[in-house]
Amino acid sequence: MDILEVKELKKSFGELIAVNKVSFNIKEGEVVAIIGPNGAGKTTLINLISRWIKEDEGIIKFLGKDIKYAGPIQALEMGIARSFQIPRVFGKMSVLDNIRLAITSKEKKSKKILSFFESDKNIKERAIEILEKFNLLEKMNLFADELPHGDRKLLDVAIAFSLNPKLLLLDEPTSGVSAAEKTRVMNRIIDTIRKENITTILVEHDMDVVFEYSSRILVMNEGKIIADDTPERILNNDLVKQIMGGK
Amino acid sequence: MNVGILISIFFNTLLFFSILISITIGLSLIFGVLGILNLAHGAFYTLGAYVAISLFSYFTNVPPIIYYILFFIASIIVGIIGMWVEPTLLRRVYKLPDEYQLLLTFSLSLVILDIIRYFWGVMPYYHYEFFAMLGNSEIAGTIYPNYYLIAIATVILLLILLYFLLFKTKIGLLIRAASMDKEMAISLGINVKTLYPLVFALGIFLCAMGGALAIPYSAITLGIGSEVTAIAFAITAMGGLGSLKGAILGSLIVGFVRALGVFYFPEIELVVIYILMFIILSIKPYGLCGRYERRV
Amino acid sequence: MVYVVDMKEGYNIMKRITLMEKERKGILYIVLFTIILAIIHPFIGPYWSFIVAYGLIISIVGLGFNLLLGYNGLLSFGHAGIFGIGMYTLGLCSKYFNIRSLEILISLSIAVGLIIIIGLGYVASKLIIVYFALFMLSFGQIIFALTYKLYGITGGSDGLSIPLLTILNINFNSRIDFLYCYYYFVLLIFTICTIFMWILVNSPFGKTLQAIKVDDIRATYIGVPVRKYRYIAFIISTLYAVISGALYGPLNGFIYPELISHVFSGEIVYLTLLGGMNYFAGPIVGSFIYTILKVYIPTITEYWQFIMGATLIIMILLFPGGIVGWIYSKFKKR
Repeated sequence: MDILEVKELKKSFGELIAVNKVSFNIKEGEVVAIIGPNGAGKTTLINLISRWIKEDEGIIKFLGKDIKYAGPIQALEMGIARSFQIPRVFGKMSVLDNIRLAITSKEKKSKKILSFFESDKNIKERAIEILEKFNLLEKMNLFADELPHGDRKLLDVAIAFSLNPKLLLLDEPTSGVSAAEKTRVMNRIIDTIRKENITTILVEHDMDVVFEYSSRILVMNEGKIIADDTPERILNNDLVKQIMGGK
Repeated sequence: MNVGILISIFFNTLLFFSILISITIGLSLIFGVLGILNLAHGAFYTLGAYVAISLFSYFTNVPPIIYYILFFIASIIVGIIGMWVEPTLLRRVYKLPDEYQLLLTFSLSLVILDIIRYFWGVMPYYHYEFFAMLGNSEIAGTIYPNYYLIAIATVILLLILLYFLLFKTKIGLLIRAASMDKEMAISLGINVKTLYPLVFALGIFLCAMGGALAIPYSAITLGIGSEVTAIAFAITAMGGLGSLKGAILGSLIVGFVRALGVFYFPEIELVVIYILMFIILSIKPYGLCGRYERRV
Repeated sequence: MVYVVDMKEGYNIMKRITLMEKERKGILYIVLFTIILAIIHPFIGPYWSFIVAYGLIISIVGLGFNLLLGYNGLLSFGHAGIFGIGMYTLGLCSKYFNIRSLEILISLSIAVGLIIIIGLGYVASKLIIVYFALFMLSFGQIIFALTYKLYGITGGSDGLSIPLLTILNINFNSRIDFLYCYYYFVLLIFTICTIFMWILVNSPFGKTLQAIKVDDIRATYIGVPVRKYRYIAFIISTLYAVISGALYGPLNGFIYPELISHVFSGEIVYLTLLGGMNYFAGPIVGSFIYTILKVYIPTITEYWQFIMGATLIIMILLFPGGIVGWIYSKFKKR
């Protein structure tokens, strides 16, 4: 069974059609990149799949189930997590707490009143493991809003990761991360993803990252998918070259 | 239905509308541009009334036009005080979370009220001369005090002027730009530091005017402010924060309800407003017309 | 031999205490505070006992209030109304149903209060910041108006007197005797409430509430049912106000509507900020200072509002952390 099926998905904002009858399927374990010029509808697509917004037309099926009526919380429970283009983290809380909160919420422990947050050693250990994977361990006691931009991005991805997703949607995970760091960061993300067999969709502008880490590329333009292929064949696709302007 | 009653209700609605809108439009303006919920609005309203009534007491037996001018002078004085408050107090809390600004304006109202108490004491003040001097008019067989007609006309005139200011002048454009996005406004070169006190002063001016206008209508005591704040907030919340249209709509509705109430249920008056606010917020958590814009 | 073992035991215990996590220490401090207050009671005389009891009662509503403000970012201008529900339920039940048992009256007040706040909270949890503050204000004012206007039932501004109640079915000969024992009752409830609140704010739920305060949208995106949690926090917060109100009646012996006007709501806000809204102990410290100020300031000047407003402005501009915050910063500097 395909983990994600998208059929004829459409979303408009007033006059503007952001996503225009998009269809594709994703198999479990794939790492798919979505590329395209600004305004192509990539982020809207992510928003639709993660249920941040609702579609006008079309069907999205996750693990065979239609998620038309699911909101963000149900989507999370089913196993869809996302990171944000402009990183959203809990600024006035520590990095460690950010992760611990995500884990606590995922394990349905956030409603516990009669125990101490700090006392949960398991959660603390898991949080530390995750922070290590994303190289944020030394900064674990800093407040999230004290982090430089690149680290905040990492934290955002780490939070999504802590939610034990089956499908991970990453919106420009390396934008703002320094060139030197990109490889290391992406390596870590991809390593972890591969180990846990998490299906991933990443929206990216950095072509090096895209070609290095994805096994399949979807090219979007003006709300439509104009190409869906392996990286090699996309490289040789003239239409794509035209649109992406020789990147 | 008696035509006379209809006419009274009509004009009373306009009268209450005038008093209410002068307060709420100032509140909406201040919130829309500065992003501050001015809990001290009622205190400024009270101050406006007291200053006006003191000015009146210095001039007895003068032609009505002098009183009219005194209205404006009193309101301008209070507006200037407002202009001083903004840079000294309010500016410091923009960076702090929202709760702090509510708390700050709340404390300001306490301070202002006690200052009023210090200078004017607790006994109520009255001034009926102006009111009496103007006499009454007869409209379709009903007698209606001229003072109210003038008050209504004044406020409507001010609203029209305000409309022109905001939508037809350059400075109005600056104000509207600043109200949408403060950072954008700064980057466009708008001098926020001079704009903010002006807008605040404008809002306070209008509010104080409302207070002054209420003089012949009720005894001036320390309590008038709190009633008014609550109603003004109720209207603004009902109409949607920061929405000028909402303020107008809300003031009309409440003005109408109050006009009816005066005739049919004078007892419950004030609580009705609270009940109304309670009901509206229960159904529409963001007010009728508005969305509370989050400050990024 | 025995001596040496005892010393060692004692040392180990002391060591265990200092190494305890902050959470357990907190409970210890609260219990210590309670024990101290319990011990000094016979020595401080009825006047000071009254003031301490008053402070304890106000602390409870302060803690509840701060659950919403400090931990949720929601400012409620209507807690006085909820306080009034507790207060008047107790008063009316004692008058019309002839109940004299303290325990039963308090339980009744809590029960009635719960019914109301469960309904109220459902609506209130939809609201944010200003709308919430106004909604609570309007509710508080409606309660105030009710107590005032239904003077046939509540006695209106003439007030309602609270008869001499029984504690654990013990009858008291005089008011002073009653108050002597009532002090301990209030202290007990205070301790239970405070410990519960402490555990709550340090629990996963409490931490999640903080996250909701910081970024409620992000909280949704890690799977937190924001509205539901706000609802629960609201219920707990208002429950504290109900308990506090119910406790107030027997202490004062007399209740009247002006006690629960928006002025009192404002005073609750004031004392929380004075103590420090970002600190657990803030409302408690604030309540006691407020109680003392309220007793002494009127003897110096009638301009209590001015003092309140001016100190609040100074606090906001210079000490947003309140008094407790200021003390903490002094300690850190060492």
